[in-house]
Amino acid sequence: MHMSDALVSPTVFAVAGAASLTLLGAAIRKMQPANRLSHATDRYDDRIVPTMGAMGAFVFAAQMINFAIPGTGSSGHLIGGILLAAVLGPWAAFVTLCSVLLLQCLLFADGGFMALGCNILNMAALTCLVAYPLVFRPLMRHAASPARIFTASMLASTVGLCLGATAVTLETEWSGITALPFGRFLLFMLPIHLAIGIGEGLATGAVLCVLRHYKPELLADVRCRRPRTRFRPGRALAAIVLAALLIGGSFSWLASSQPDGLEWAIERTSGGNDAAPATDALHRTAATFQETTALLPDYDTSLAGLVGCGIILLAAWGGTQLLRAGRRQP
Amino acid sequence: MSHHYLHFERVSYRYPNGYEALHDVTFHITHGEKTALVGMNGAGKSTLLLHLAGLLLPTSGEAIVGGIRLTPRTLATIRRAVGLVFQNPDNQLFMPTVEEDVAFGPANMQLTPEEIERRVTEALAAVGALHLRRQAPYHLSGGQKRSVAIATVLAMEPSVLLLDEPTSNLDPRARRQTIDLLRGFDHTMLLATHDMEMVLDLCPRTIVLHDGRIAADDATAVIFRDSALLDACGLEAPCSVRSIRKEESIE
Amino acid sequence: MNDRLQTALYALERLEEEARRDSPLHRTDARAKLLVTTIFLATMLSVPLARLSEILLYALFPILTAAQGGMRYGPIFRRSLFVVPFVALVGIFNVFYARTPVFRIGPLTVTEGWIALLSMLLRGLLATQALLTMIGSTGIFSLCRGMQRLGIPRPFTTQLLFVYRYLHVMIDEALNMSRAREARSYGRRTFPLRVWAPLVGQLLIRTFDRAEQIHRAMLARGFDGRIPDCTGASTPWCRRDTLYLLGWSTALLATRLCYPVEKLTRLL
Repeated sequence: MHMSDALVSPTVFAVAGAASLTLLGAAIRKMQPANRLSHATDRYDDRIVPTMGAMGAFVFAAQMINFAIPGTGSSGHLIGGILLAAVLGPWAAFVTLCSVLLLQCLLFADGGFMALGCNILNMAALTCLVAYPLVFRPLMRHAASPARIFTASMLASTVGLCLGATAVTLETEWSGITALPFGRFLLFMLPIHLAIGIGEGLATGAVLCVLRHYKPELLADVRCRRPRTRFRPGRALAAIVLAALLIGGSFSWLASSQPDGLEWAIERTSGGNDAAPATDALHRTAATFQETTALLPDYDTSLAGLVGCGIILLAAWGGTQLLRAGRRQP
Repeated sequence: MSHHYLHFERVSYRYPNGYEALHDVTFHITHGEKTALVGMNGAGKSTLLLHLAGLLLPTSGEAIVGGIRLTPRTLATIRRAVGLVFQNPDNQLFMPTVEEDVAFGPANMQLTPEEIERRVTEALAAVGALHLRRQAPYHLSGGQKRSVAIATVLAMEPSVLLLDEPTSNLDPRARRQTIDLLRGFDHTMLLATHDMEMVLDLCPRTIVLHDGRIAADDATAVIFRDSALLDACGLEAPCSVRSIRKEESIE
Repeated sequence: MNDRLQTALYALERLEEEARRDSPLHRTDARAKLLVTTIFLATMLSVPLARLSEILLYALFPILTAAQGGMRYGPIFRRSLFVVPFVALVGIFNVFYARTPVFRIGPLTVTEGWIALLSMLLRGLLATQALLTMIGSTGIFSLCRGMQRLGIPRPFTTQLLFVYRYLHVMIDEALNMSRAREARSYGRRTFPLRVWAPLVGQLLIRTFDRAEQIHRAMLARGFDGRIPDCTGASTPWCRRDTLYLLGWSTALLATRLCYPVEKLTRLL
């Protein structure tokens, strides 16, 4: 599910990065008032800071404890988006998941650094900000029965994961990385994520039932009705459709006008701040360079190039080893 | 300096779930006095400390800390005058490095950077942890964590020090060092603990809590000789006192 | 599963240890390293998949930075290998779909698909290695502070450091709980859901209790909802950092724009 840097192109990670940064900014602003209201009965309203920190660490630790999926020989682990949202509210859960994703990328190289924007959209935004308010929230009641909790979390998790899988497919396709056609790729991704979603739903439901039994007050976001800050599903849906159209539109425009994002960006920046872009030296070099590369056959990677490159790398590596050895000797 | 006293007048506290943790607690601790607070698990020691640190408000009764009455308005002022060292240092040390953690309190008081720096250095020097200042909290040993936790509180230059189980989970040497450290302070001090040897060593006065009430409030030596009281409150006199008593009874 | 928790703890410890060493790269400002790594990733990922040898040239970056940081390249390479399965899963389809031959080595015909697959694997490996050298020579604290100084919102970086701080504590707690369970489960590797749910639920409730305690500790020291700017070691930007940033970014951009391997091959 974590996308690697290998699977994204500069255009895709730039757009996804900008989108997720915007969402993150919005979430940080939203978090404050929602939290004040949810703890209005308490004397203190700033406990969200340590709570989010501890909950992020909890998700990390819980992801490392596997459970056996009933009826199969395999095991799964919690991903935690829906669970976090039920406990912290969607916005705070989103911010928490973002920090978990960033740490996973930095500490365990799980998912790429440039692909982080994509991962935030696929895994945090689609579960906390889409599946949770549109599926989970409407299905939950004040004192829900275990059956209802399981149904709601199962549905929300599968919806969240399948949306995520679709997003992964779209992003990979837009990056022009895979030769696999969109439909087949999706057919390959969806069943896997459906299965993961069912496991995740079971796990989320089970933990929520435990919480409901021992500490129902923790399910703050499900329990209390907050008329002012409540998610309006209709409006959220409209916003998401609009965002998807915008992102999709800009992607396809970029993809058609210029297949390579960086070259596009170079041209853009060199031409953009000058009134007469054609006379710009850098622009001209970029343009001629574009022509030469376009005229060359696409796959001119010859064996000689590979061998030469290999020799350079070996020499560099050998040099560093010698340097190390030299440093150790005296 | 004479207003650094603690005064409780018929204080009761009921948790939101209805459990009454404190009932009609009245005591007075004067400036510079080192007092121990003992009692079984769940006797209300931690709740009492939370009141004194301005983290809980009494349901009824009056609490005066450092000359200030405890009300919702004065909470912030009281929190600055009182330093509370929590039982689990992992919960107290939440910043990325020791230095930043010690600076957290002073920085909240909006002091100048130079003043913050001075306080951090002094507080760490006072607990002998100056060499740890750039370390991350989870790299420290139990004893070091405890020392740094005390330093975080000292940096706020409080007039009153409250400590919750300062010697729990420490190896003998770290325990001894912590006790010696505490002996050197001249703050008004209240220690909630199960470590009776330390009480005997450090505190001339002891308050015994039982089921949210004060069961006894007297000189430590007197309380440790009252075996009926100790039995009733689920406590035990320290070994040294017991062996003296045994010798006496043999004679 | 205990192994996973234990491994994670060791990984964290090793990372901290690595970051505390001293080398020219360790002394370079976190912001410079962040920017250079970003430029490296952006330029490397923008090379078309067909140009395998150009991508191969980018391996110089992790090799040289690792040497500069006094880290051994072997372990970094080995750790980066774990991205291979994920990338190969997607990349393998190119082999079936793009069958145009490109060149031959003796009887072996290399197709476009194979080149694309190899390029993708290389991209994955190099990206991971660059990240590993950056984090290994910087450490999470300096990196967070660097990000903050580059304009990432403060509430987020604070949150990040909180998660990192309590990661150790929570993994330890999870480890203790699952050990206690395992001691009574006679060799079962995974938990049935019936056992797993109370364990994780319990962990969550403890997490909340802990958050409550931390919050109290913060309040007791005058916390008013905003983490203050603590002294911290905020190193100034010096000439070494400018040199590092300029040197690498020109080298990387030049490599991207000129395709030196191709020119060299044609020259030969």
